[in-house]
Amino acid sequence: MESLANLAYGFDLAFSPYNLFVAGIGVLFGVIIGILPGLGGTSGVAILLPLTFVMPPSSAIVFLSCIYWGALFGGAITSILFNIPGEPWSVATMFDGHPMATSGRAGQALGSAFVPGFFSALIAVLLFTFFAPPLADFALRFGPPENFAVLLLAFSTFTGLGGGSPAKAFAVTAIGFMLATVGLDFVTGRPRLTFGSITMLSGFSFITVSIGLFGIGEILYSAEETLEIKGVRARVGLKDFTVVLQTIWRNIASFFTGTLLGFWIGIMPGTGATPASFLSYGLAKKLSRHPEKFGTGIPEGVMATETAAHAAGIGALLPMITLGIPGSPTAAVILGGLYIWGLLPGPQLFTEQKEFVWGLIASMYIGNAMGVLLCLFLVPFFAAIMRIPSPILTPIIVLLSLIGAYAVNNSTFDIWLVLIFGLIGYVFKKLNYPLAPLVVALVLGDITEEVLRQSLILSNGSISIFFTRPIAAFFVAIAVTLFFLPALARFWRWIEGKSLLPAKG
Amino acid sequence: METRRFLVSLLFGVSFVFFETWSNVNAWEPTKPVEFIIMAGQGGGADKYARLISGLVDKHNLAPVPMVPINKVGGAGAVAMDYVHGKKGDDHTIMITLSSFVMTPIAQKLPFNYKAFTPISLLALDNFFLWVHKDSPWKSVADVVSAAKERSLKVGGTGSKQEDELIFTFFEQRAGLKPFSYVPFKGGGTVAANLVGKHIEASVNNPSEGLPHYPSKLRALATFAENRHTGSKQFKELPTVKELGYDISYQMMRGIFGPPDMPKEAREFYAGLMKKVFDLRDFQGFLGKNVLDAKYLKGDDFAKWVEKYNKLHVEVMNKAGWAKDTTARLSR
Repeated sequence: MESLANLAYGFDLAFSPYNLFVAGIGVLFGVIIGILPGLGGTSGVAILLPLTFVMPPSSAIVFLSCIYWGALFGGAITSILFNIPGEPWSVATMFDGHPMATSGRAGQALGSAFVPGFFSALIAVLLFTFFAPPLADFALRFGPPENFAVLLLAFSTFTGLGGGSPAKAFAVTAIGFMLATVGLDFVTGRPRLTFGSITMLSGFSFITVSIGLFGIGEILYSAEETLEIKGVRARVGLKDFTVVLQTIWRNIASFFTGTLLGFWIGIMPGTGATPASFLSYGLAKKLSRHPEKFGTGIPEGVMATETAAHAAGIGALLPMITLGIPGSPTAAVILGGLYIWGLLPGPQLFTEQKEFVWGLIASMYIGNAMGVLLCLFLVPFFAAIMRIPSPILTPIIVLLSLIGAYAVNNSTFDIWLVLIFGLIGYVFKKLNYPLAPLVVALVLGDITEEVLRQSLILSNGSISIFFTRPIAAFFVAIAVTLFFLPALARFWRWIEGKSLLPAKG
Repeated sequence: METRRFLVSLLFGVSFVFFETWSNVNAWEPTKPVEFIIMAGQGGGADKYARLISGLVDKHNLAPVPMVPINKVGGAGAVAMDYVHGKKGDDHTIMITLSSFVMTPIAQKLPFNYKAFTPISLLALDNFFLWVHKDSPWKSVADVVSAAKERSLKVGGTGSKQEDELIFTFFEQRAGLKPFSYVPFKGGGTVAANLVGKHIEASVNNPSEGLPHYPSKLRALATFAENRHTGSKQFKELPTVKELGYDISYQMMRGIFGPPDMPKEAREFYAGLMKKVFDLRDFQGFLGKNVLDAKYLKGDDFAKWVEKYNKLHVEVMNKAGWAKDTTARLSR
C-alpha cells in the first residue's frame, strides 16, 4: 500500500519537535478562537495566516489546519455552556447541549460533543488518507442541481423541528427566509430589502442573529423567570465518560450517518460544516425512536451535530488540496495560504509536494488527538463555570455576545442587531414560537436560493433538471419521502386499522 | 576597556546617524497599526493579496507598525467603500481594491464613486483566460464564436454583474454573439470545478483558478490581456483574443487606495511602502506563478490609469443596460 508508506513518511515529518510544537500551539489557539463567539475558525485562520510566512509550507499547513481542528472542538463549549454559538456549525449543538448544561449535565454534554467529534474526525481522516483523489473526482459531478437536491433533503428533515404549533413554526421559518433575502441579490446583483441603506447591503449574518435570539434572548427570559441564583451543580466524573461511550454505542447508526454525511457535505464545494451539522441533527431526529426528546437535552442531539461538523471540517480540505476548490470558508483562507507559500493546489501536489500533503494528513490525526485530549482535560474546569452565580456570569456572557457580534463583520451595526434580536428572541420565547426553524431557514435559505437559481439558469427555467439528472433525482426522491413520511405513517396506520375492522365483526 | 568604550560609542554614533537619515527620508510614518480594508470576504482574491502584503511587510520589517487586514463584506464592495469614504482625511486606513471598486458605483446608487478616494498605487493586473473542458469540441476561440452564434452557451463566472460577466458581455458585444446564459457562482474555484464537472461550457477564470486542472482537465483557448504572456513558461504561446480579431482587452486591477483627502505625506509613505513590497522577490515570485502582470504606478499616473479604466466599464455596462439609471426597468 503506497498510501501507508506515504502516511508513515507523513508521521515522521509531523512528529518532528518543531511540527509537534506548531501543532500544539495551533490547537490551543484554535480552541480559544472556537470558544470566543463570532471569532470563527475562518477569521482565526485568516488572522494568524501571516505568522506562517516564516515557516516552511509543510509546517505552515500543520499550524493552520490545527487551528481549524481546535476551533471545531472549541465551538461546542460556548454553545453548550452559554447558549451562544461559538462557531456557525455549533448552532445546532445548542439545541440539546444547553438544556443539558442547565440541568447539571454540562460535563456529559461536553463529552458528547468532544468524544464522538474525535471519532468521526478519525474516520473522516482515514477516508481522506486512502480515497482522496477518487472522492474529489466524484465531488465534481455535483453541480448546482445536485447541491440543491441535498439541501432539499436538509429541509425535509427539519419539518416539525422545535415542536409546538406547526403554524408558529411555519411563521418563524418564513421570517428566516425573509431575513436571508436581505442584501445584494446574488443572481441579479441588485439590492433587496435594503431600503437604500448601505449597511443593510451586507444582509443579516446568521451568527449575529443566533447570538441575539439564543444568547441574549435566553438571558432576558431566565432573568425574568428566576431571581434566585441558580448555581447548577455540575459534577464531572468518569461516569460521564462511560455515558458518552454508551450513547455512541446505542446510536451507532446515527453516529455513522452523521460522520459520512458530514464528510461528504464537507467535500462538496461551497457548503461546509454548517449545513452538514443541521442536516445531521435533523436526520438523527427524524430517524430516532423518540424524536420528541430532541431539543430537551439529550446527548444524541449533541452527538449528531458534532460528528457531522468534525467530519465536514476534514472533508472541506479534500477538494482544497486536490482541486483547488475550498469546501468551506475556512478552507478558502487556507487555500489562500497555499498560493502565498508558492504552492499550486491540484492533483500534482500529491506527487510533487509529498512532504506537504502527507505532513498535512498526519497532522489531521495528531491535531485531532491533541484537541480531544486538551478539551477533555479541561471539561471539569468548563463545567465549573456553570457553578458561577448568574449575577456574575450573566454580564460576562452579554459582553462575550457583543464582542462576538462585532467580530463577525467588524461592524458596530451588528451590535445593535444582537440587542434587537435578543428582544425578539425573548418575545418569541414568551409566546412559544420555536427559534430553531428561523435560524435554519436563515442559514440554509441563502445557499438553497443560490443553487436553485443557478440550476434554473442552466435549465432555462425548467424544473425537470432536478429529475433528469440521476444524482439529483436520487436525493430529491429521499427528500420527498422524508417530507411525506409522517403523512404516510398515518395513512398506513389507518389502513391497518381498517383491515382489522372486518376481523372484529 | 578602551576598545569596549570605543565600540559602545561607535554603536551609538552609527545608530544616531542611521536614525537621523531614517527620520529625514521618511518625514511621515504611521504611529499606530494601519487598518488594511479588504473589499471582499475571507479567502477571496483581494483577501489573498492583502494578507500576502501585510505578511511581507511584517516579515521584511518594512513599516514601523503592522498592517491589520480587515474584511468589510457586502454589497459587492459598497460596504467597504462606504466605510473608507467615511474616514475623510484619515492617514491610518488604506484599502485593497479590485474591479468592483469602479463597477459597484456604476451599478448601484451610492453617494460616491472612484473619484472620491485617494489613489495610492497599482501593484498588479490579474488576467483572464477563456477556458473550456478538455473533452470539449471547441479547440479555438473561432470554434466558440461559431457555436455562440448558433445558440446561447451556458457559461459561468464569479458573481453577478462583476468582472467575469462583464468580460462575457464584452465578448458578446464585440463578436456579435447570442446572449450567454450566465450562471453566477460565489468563488472562482467553484466556477472552475463546475467547468471540470461539465455543468457549464466555458469560463473566464483567472489563471490561478484554472491551473489546478490544467492541462489534465481544462483547455485554455486565449487570454483577454492586451499582450501575450511571454514571461510565462506554460502560456507564452497562448494567443490574445485581440490578435484573433475581437477588439477586447481586459485585466483586473489590484491596487491600493486611501480615504478621501488623505494627507500628501501619508500618501507618499504608503506608495513607497507598496513599492518596497512590489520589489520583493517573494511578491514577484507570487505574481509570476499565478500569471499576473506586475505593474507599479503611483500618484497622478495611477489616477489617470483609473480614469481610463472606469471609462471602459461605463461604456460596456451602459451598453449592457447594467448602469443604475437604465436597469431600474430592465432586470434580467
